[in-house]
Amino acid sequence: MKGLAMVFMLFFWLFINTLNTYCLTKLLDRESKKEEME
Amino acid sequence: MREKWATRIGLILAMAGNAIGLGNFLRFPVQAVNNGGGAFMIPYLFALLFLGIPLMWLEWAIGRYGGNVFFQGTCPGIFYGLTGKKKFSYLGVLALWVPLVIAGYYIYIEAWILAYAFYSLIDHIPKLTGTDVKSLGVFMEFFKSVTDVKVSYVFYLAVLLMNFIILYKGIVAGIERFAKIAMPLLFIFAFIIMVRVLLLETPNGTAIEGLNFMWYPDFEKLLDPHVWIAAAGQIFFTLSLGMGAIAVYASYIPRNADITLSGLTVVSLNEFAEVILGGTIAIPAACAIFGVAGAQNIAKEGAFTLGFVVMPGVFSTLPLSNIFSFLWFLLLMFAALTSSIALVQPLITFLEDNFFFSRKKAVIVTFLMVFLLNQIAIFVPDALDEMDLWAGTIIIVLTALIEVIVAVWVYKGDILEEINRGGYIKVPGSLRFVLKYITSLYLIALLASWFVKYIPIFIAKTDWNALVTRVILIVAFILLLVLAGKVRLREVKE
Repeated sequence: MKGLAMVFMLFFWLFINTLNTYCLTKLLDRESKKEEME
Repeated sequence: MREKWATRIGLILAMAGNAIGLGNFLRFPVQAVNNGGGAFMIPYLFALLFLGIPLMWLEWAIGRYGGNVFFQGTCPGIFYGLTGKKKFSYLGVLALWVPLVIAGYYIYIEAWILAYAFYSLIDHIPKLTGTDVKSLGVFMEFFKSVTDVKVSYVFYLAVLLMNFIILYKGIVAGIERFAKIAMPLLFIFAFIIMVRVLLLETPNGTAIEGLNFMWYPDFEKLLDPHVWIAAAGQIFFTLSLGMGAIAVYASYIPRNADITLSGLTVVSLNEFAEVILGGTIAIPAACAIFGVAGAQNIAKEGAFTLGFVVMPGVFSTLPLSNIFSFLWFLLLMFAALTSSIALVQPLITFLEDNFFFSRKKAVIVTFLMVFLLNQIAIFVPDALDEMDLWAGTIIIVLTALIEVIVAVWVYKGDILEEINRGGYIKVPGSLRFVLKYITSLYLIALLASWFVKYIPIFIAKTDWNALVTRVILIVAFILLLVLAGKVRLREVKE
């Protein structure tokens, strides 16, 4: 792959994967804490 | 007592199913390639941050508010409740009309997907005999034969029945249970196909060259305002905004349950399906088989050609071709079905909330209306395009703009407070400014641009088919307006 195309692709893949990881881990964490409290 | 989603994962998968549709796998790659490749992602990211995510939170918030405060899950009742003025319920009718009309043709497209999945399974799809774009002619002929009403009608009845069964069972036993099965399978199938595509290599090219073609940024395109409009339009379509369907699903969320993190999670899952999976399947596969020049021509032909003509052609060159083709169409089927049930649900909710219909009765009445609209899309030539132009392109943006005006400009309370209620993450106060000015401007620009682009086409088309379709769409709208006059707010007793 040419450099610039790869930079763009990796940046957006990383951005989306980071967002996904953040959302899903935080959601699981909050939900498990909620269950514990209940 | 209003039904509630049984689990948070079920809610998120149902909402993700609502958002993830054919656009993620077919429309996005075509838009990206035709609008500057990697450079397209810059306006796309702007639109995601300033149009997509704010509107997503807004629709979740007004839906949850309506469902929990005055037993209204659809925009006529929600707008009435938010403003305290009955006249606003008539504006909300647009958010009933849009999903109904889109379901009117979308379910027929689903029938084509089911037909392709069936023919893939019995290995009845043609084989590609050459590696130039002209050799796709046989697949175009096959597409015409599958979409011929004599063939497709049986499949149409089957998908109509599937939609009916899911919705008949209700929110938890129907929509939530189906989403919990369909969405994980969709991601698994897409991942399998993505890996297979990445391994493609022919004398014409490789999938990696396809990724390069897809992502290479053409920065000059950023100076073209059409590219910015195209990116905003893609974000709008991919997140299923302006249809009223998200607010309807959100009306079944408890009053103090989180919507900020859940809404963001749905956006991020949608983006994963679109940019990572959708962006790595169709165009790279087309490049590997037909070369970059071939893929360039294919992208100009649009999303349907890519999905129904090119992809079966690509898969036919592989060992176990029927299996890959079947998985591709099954994943599209899941994407479409989870979206179409979300399109039909608003009218069901409206009838239940305002006319005290039982679920059974509301579903039957709604499906009668959907069935009638489907017949227009199937039997009146060009009606599908006409319905898509009005409901799926222009009025959808107007509906979103009205949502913002009502919830941000007219509503006396603080919409941000409503968004943040029970939130696992707190949305900053700047969202108020973003919604009030930037999102509104985005929507006005989209609306103005598409109005200028499509109205001349509308004026030019004055044949009987177009006129009949328009009359029916207007009649449906008037009928919904009359029904909206009966909206009554109720106090919810939990």
